[in-house]
Formats: sequence, C-alpha cells, structure tokens
Amino acid sequence: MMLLHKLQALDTEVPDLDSLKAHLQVAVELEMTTLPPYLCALYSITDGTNIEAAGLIRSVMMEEMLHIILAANVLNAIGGSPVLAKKGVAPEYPTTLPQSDGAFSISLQPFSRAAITSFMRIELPTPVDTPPETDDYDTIGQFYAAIKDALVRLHKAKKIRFDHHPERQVDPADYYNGHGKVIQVTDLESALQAINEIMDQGEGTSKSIYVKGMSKDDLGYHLAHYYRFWEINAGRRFKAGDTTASGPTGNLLPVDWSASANMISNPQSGWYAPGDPRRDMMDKCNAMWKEMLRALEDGLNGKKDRLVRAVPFMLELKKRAKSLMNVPSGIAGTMLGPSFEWPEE
Amino acid sequence: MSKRPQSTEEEYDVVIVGAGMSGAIVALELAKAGKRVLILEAGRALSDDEEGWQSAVDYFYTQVAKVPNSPYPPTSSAPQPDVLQYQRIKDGIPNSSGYWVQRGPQSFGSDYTRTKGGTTLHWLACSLRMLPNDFKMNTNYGVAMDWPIEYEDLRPYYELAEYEIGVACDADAYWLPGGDPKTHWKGYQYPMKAIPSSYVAKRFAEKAKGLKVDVLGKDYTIRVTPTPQGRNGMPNPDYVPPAKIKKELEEARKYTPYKPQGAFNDPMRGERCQGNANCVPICPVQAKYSALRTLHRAERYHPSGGSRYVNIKTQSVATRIVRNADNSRIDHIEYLTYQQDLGPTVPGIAKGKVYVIAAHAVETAKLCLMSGVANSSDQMGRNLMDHPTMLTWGLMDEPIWPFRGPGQTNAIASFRDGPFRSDHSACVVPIDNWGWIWGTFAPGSTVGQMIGEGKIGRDLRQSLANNVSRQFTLQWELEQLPEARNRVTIDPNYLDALGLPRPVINYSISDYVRRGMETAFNVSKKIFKHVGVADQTFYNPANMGYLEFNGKPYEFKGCGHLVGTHRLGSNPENSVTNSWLRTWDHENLYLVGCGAMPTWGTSNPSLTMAALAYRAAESILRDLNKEKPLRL
Repeated sequence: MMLLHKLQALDTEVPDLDSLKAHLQVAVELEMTTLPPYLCALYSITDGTNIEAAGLIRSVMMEEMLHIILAANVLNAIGGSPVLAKKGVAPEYPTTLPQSDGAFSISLQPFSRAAITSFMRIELPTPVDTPPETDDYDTIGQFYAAIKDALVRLHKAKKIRFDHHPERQVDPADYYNGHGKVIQVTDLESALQAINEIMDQGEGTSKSIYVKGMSKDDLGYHLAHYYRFWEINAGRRFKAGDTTASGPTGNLLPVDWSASANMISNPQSGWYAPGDPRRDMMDKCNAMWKEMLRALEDGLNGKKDRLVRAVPFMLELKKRAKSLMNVPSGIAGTMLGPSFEWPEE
Repeated sequence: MSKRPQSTEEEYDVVIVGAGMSGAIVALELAKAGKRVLILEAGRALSDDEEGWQSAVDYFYTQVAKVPNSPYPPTSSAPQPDVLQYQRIKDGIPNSSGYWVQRGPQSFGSDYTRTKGGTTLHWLACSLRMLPNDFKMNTNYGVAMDWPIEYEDLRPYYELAEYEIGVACDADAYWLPGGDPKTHWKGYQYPMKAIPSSYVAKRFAEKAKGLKVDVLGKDYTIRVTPTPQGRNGMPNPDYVPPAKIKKELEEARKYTPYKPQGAFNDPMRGERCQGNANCVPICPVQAKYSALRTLHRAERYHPSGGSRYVNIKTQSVATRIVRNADNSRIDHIEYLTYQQDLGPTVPGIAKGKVYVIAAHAVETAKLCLMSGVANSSDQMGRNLMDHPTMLTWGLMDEPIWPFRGPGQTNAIASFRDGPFRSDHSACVVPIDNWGWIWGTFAPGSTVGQMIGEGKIGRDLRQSLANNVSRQFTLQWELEQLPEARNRVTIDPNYLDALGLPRPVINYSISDYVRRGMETAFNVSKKIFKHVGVADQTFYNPANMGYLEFNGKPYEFKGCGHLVGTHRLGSNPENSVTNSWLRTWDHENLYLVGCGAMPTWGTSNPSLTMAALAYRAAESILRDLNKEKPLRL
C-alpha cells in the first residue's frame, strides 16, 4: 500500500489510543519513505565532486533518521511497538506523497536537477495557518498537527500514559549524529517536544528559512530542509538577511549536474531472471536493506545493542548500492541502482 | 632588497606561534576570558574546509608509502621532516637529505606536521595520563629529574584536556601498575565509553590471561587494559564535566553530560568511530580529535556578536623572538608571510603583551635558539626524547583478523612501572591492530613473498587469507630518559629556502633503553609461546634503527613522540620554564608543548601536553590581569 493510501486510511479525528498508535506508526513509515530517494541521490554522486551538495543531502537524510527515532520514542512511550522490518512498511518506488497542492510521485533516481526538484516538493513548507482537516490529510504538517492535538486531548481525558517501556527510549548515547537531539519521551511535554522537533527541523515554515529556534549564528545546518535543497537547485547559499522571498543570494555553491551515476529510475530486481548476475547483486543489496531494518527495529524495541549492529549494515548497504551503479542495466545505456525492495522470504 | 617589516594593525593581548593543539587550547581559553589573540602558523591550511579535508583523504589514498605525513604535503617555505628521507647513519656522516640534519649516532625516527591543526592531524589519539611515579623518577628510581609538581597537581587539567579532546575509555576497567582503578580514579568517568576492543586484542587478552613473567626477580602478570582514545564513541551518561566547563555549558543553556564534537566543519559528521583503520594519518570521517576542532571554535568565538577574538595567520613563519633592552621581556616577534611555495615573502611584526611559542618540540627549540632567548640554563634543545619502539611479530595459531578498527584499542600495562626502572626502561605494549604493516610492510610484502614462492591464482589467495588473518604484532614502546647529548641545535651551514636554520639533531639510544629492549625481547618470547604465536621477528642490519646489545640484534622505530627540548623544572639552572611553562628568563614568554616534559614515562605525550596548556593559559590570564603569579 502506498503511503498516500495509508494516510487516507487513518481517522483524522484520532478518536482513541489505537488510532494514535496507528498515526505514529505511519509517521515512522512516512519518514522512512524519504530515505531511499535521498540515499540514491547521495550514493550516485561521483566521489570527490559536488561536495557541498552531498553534504546538504546527507544532512537532511541524517535528520530524517532522527525523526524515525523520535516518532518511535513517542510510540513506545504510549505503549506501541514500532514496526520497520515488514513487507509494506517501507514503500516500493515510485510511490506517492500528499502535499497541499495535490499528491505527487517520488522516484528512486540519481543526483540531478529533477531529483532535487522532487526533494523540494517533499519538503515544501506547510502554509502556517493550514488547520487540520476533518476528512483527509492534504499535508504532512496537518498530519503531525493532528498527532499533537490527539496527544493533548487523550492525555487530558486520561486515556494515555507515557511510561511504557522506558528501557526502549533511544537516548543520546545510542544516537547522536546530527543536529537536533534525541528526546526521551516520559510525559506529555516531552512527547510534544519530540513531534515539534520533527516538524521544525523538517518542513520549517513558509515564513522563515531557519529551523525554529536556530539562527544564522549556529554552526552547521540551521536551514529547514526545503531551503537546503533550494540552495542546491539555485547553486547558491543563503546568506544573512535572505528571506523566503529573496531566495538564496549568498556565495556560489558549485554544482556539477553531470557528475553522477547514470542510474536508471526505479530499478526492479524482477527485470532480471534468477541466476542473472544483475539479479544476484540486486537481491544482495535488498537483503542488506532488510538486515539493516531488522537491526533498527530490534534496536527500537528494547534490544539496544542491535542499534550498534545497524551501523556496519548501513556501510555495507552503501557499498552494495554503489557497486550496482557501476553495472549496466541493459536499458538505454543506463546503470543499475538499489531498488529498496522487501525481498521475498 | 627586503622591505621594512610592518607591524600588524593591532596589538594583541597574546601572540601565539603555532596553530596545533597547545596553541589552540591556549587561544580558546584566553578568548573565553575576553583576550585578543593572534596565532602565527608557519604552514598552510590545506585541510581546513570540506573540500580540503576530502582532498587530503584522496591524496593519502594515492600515496604508495603510507607514512604519517602522506596526506599533508609540505611547502618548501615551511618545510617539515619526512620519515621517508630518514636513513641509517653510517660512518658518522650526517644525513642532510631531508629538512632535518641528522648527526646520529642513531637516526631519530619521528616527525611532525607543519600545518594548521599541527600534528594532531596525523596522531593516533591515544590519550594516556602519566602515572604518579612518572613525576618522581629521581626520588623513586635514582634516574633523571623529578617534576616540580605531582600527578595530583595535574589531575584537574587532565580532566579539562579529556573533555576538550573527547576521550573514550572505561576508567573502571583501566588497570594501572600498583594501583586499584577505583581508588586511583576516585569515581572519575571518561566523557565517552570505551571504544570496543579489536578482535585481535580480545583474543590476545583471553589467551594471555593469568600469564606471569619474571623481570629482575619479580613476577609481573600480563594485564591487558583499554587504551584511552581521543576518538568518538558512545557518550557516557555518568560523566561529570569539570566544574568550569559545566558552568559554561549551563550558562549557554547547552548542558548535557557529554555531547561528542563532530567534524570541525560539519557537526553531522565524525561523531562516531566507524573503524576505518587508518587513524594514522587521517580519519576520513573525523571521528578522531584534531586541533582543527578547537581552532575553529576559537576562531568563531565572538561573544554577543562583537568582533572575533582569535585571528589565525597561516603561511606566516616566525623568524625571531625579539627581546627588549634589559632582556627581561619579549618586545615583539618578527615573521615572514609567503603567498605560495617558495614565492616572495612579506615581513611582519607581531606585538602582544604575552608571547607563547607552541610550535612543537623541535621547532620551538629551534626558534628560541635562533633568537637567542630563554637559554640561560643551556637546556634549550637538549633532552630530546621519543618512545623508541621495538616490534616483535609472528603468526597466531588462529585467525585474529587485524585491520578492523583503530590502530590500537588495548595495551599491556604491566611494565609501565616497577622497581626495574632503576635499571632499564619501562614500556607500554599496545596490541597492534594493523598486522605486520609496521614491521614488514605487510600485507604488500606478504603478497610479494608468496608470488616469489611461485604461488598464483586460488592458491595465492588462500595462502594470503591464511597468513594475513593471523599476523600479530606487539609494540614495545620504551621509556627514554633525558640526556643532554640528545638535542636539537642549529648550524649556519644548513639553511632552508627562506634562509632560516634547519634543525640539526643529535640522537643516541642509551644502555638504559637497550637493557629495556633486551628485557622486552625476552618477555615477548615467553608471551608468544604462551599465546600460540610462531615468532617471525627479524631485525635487518640494513634498517635505520638496527642496533646490537650484548651481542644480540634489536631494532627500534620512532613512535612520533617528540618530547623534552624546553623542559620545565624547579629552578632556572636545570630547566627552561617553571611548571606554568613561563620561561625563567623572560617574564612574558611561555613555551607550551611536549617539549616541556622533563620525563613522561610510558604515556603518549599529547594528553599531558594539553593538560599543561590549560595550566599555562591559567597563568597567562593571571599575568594579563596583573594578579599575583602562581607558585610551584
């Protein structure tokens, strides 16, 4: 099921605890949806080129991973169990995401202007005054606003507690690479903080280019995701004083659109018969994706040492994905790439 | 025709020569106290941004011989030693083929890096504290000289240094000779949990468990202990930062027990060691501390949006420290700035209230000797030391899979202290995690040898897998004592491209160290036999560090630890500075760096150097604020 359908299946009134848990599980899946496209773009960049652009994509990706952890911490605290390693949890590509001006498709594709444009679409800020809707979610912002609303409402009605599985809370010792911080959820306040962190860091708002609570004086990535991708698209950095209206007018950000693997969009392992070496390579890459998601899922469900194991799996996944980008697909001179499919048992 | 030197536009509170770890720490501490600082750095800033760092990594990959300075090519305007130019000194003829002139009788095997960030760019980041007995070598063992301060005096500064570097270790598991860790550390915890032990070290520790060896009639149990490492691992929730740091963090509303510092240019990178296994010479993900982190924080430091407090001028070679008329104070420092390698230079003058030379042991001594300052004791440049390192290697009776993780994660600490120190060197013995690479250039040499034996194809691959996976090395890093004859001097016959003196090195290995090698070699035999290592150690008489003792062959290598050239001490006769690193001769001149240590046992020197830098910064601040100087 595509993510859009998962969102549509949710009850936007979030009447009870079960519905809230379902929402938070979809939040985990929503954040996961962005990882494979960002990884494809990042891994496709020719080594030693597009260094600044790669750094920006990587920074967004790191924050998406933090968001998975934050959503999982809230879900665990209210008594749920985050699921990552199951067919259908991670989408197959191309997939569809909602946005205020209509649903749109996301593909696995190499670093290119088309890819960056689609990333801007993913991260497009929600107009600040869009209220939660009653029938369907049109924007991700509405979806998270509904979660916050439900947390407050159900807490007030004494229908939820935040003290489940404290041992499952991921803390800074387990995860700390990136801006923002892991928030351990123990009460309503920390739960709302965690959701706010996801919202502030990701979409930002349509009024300010900065992550809420940060300014130009902070080192590193103080821009909301949309504006980081805008920098790549424009080939310029934002500078102090720039606004959402001015766009980036700072230093040049050199981008070499040709310095990336000529990877085919949305490759599928099923294109190749079993026994074909290309099939074998794609299966091995998918197996590592599965292995990594299993380690993460275990890690988010109380087996903390499995989080450490996920690290070498991520490095191995990168190696296998990059190797595929050197293998001709046999279609119009393109190369293969990772397909992020859930391998059959 | 040379131009008349121009003074810099501004008079600073403090002028520092050298943008390495000590200079960085002093600069940051002073900036925090609102002082304005100029740092003159002779080298370039090649790896000072994302692109520069990546090109250093790439450049390193392309080098055939992977030596410590491989990623950091020198400039002829500020040359640096290159270990590939060191060679065995024969018939007393000095080796002047590189930047250094080596007069022998032994070749000094270590080097340093002249660049922004200094030698921390290539260090392994082992961050051992000195042992309490290391400060009292004369009292305890009748050799060398005591420090005027004790371990307890330095302890608070060690804690500051461990915070800044970000040291990962398990204090409770840390074994010290003669000490129970619990009483030694008094509840102290390192900022981060220990980096996981390499499989090599784990298997070795299991196999060596319970083994006792006799040294001079006393039994020593082989104890394997975690090596404190300046590389990022998991933050330790039980860590409590020093009170001063805690206060700063709380005021900035950023308090957390420990937040690892990422890469200097990208906080989203470098927050955890990934086991890339080329810590020396460059950590591609910057999980390893380098002074660039401290330097960038110092450069950014500008409270409440005001102008910045620390200005770093790279490619600016200090050429003379100039005294005032009555010799009691330094008046200014002259320097030359170059734009490109061997290009024309522009002279400049840097003025401050206090001057700090933090240019690494050899360059600091060289600059002082060139300037005729701080040498009424005649100790300047003398007592040059290293940890002469003897390797023993062999094949383990099972695969131990070297090359996974940092160069060392554990070491044998049993011989770091003991009554034998009256007779011969103490040593720390890292369980090397990089196979035989240091001893034999394996695995490259293993491939060559097997092809020479006629192996090809599958047979070659299988033989390699069987052999390389079992390659095991112990590194016997031996304590060296201060000796007046081991020294840095200058000679007008040997000048660099700017016309400045090149360091001239006299170096010898005493019988104290040779007896240490003899003992180590015998202990190694016993250990290898016990743990199942087939000894393959071979010392080639053609090698640079080959020597003989009591008719037996040995070989030492440089450990990268350059210490002792401007030692601190209790009085102006036996030393160059007091324990706050202020020179006895000039009241506003401080010499900060590894050169300050009169003895240093078996600890890698950088952590103690960093601790001393914090001490110096404290004293400089008192001087600037016209407070009463501190005693000791």
